[in-house]
Amino acid sequence: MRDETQIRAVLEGWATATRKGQKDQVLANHLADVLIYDVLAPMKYEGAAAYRKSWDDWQPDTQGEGQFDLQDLSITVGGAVAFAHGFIKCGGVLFDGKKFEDLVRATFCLRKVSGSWKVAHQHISKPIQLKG
Amino acid sequence: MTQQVETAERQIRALIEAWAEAARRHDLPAILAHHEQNIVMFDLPPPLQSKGMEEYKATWDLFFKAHKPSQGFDIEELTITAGDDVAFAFAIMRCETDAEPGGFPFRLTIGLRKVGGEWRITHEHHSIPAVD
Repeated sequence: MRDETQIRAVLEGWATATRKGQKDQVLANHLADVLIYDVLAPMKYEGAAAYRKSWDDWQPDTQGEGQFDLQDLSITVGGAVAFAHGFIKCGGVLFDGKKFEDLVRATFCLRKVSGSWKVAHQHISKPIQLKG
Repeated sequence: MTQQVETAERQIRALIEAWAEAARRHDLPAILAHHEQNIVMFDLPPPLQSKGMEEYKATWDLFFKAHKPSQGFDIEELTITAGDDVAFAFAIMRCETDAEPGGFPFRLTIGLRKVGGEWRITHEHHSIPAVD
């Protein structure tokens, strides 16, 4: 149970930093070699530095604090390996005045390193209707 | 890496390769052979999630319509992290369909638990990046 509480705190910390746009806090509990599949392109980010750079380059920013809430988080933990899945309710007002609201799926994979849980992989997406 | 972890990762790699091979030949019982009844699936096309074996099974109907047994459903990159009784894997896959004969890449994350001495899939997340 203690592990699950710690993992929940890591993921809530990530969500809070993302919501507040605290760029230097977002990856505070991610491994340097984290592999990220994000909701928008590219296919993958290899490493925390590559993902951090995307925040400076283009990740959408909202006016003030947007919504970015983890929901229905289900955590599976065993020894030093864990994974969690749930949803993120996000929304806000972009700088062009456009409002957005979305519900996306999130999977987090973690490893316990020197007694602390760290994100080794995260996968965030929304369903896409395929052509054909 | 301990011998136990090496063995677990080898078993999980074989399981995922067998699953992809079963999907290529549309062998539904073999596709479902290593999944838990309470599987939670985030599939590439809608819906947002599919909960439980019956809903997971139903996601394959759409796949069987779009994909023919001679077409690819191939693992291009696969990384596995295993603990004693919990593991995760993430992959870049390529799927060929009539609409996309050259195939398109997609992202896959899998969560597993060891139940009764065998690795079982409890979570799958398939996606492509959203366009907007």
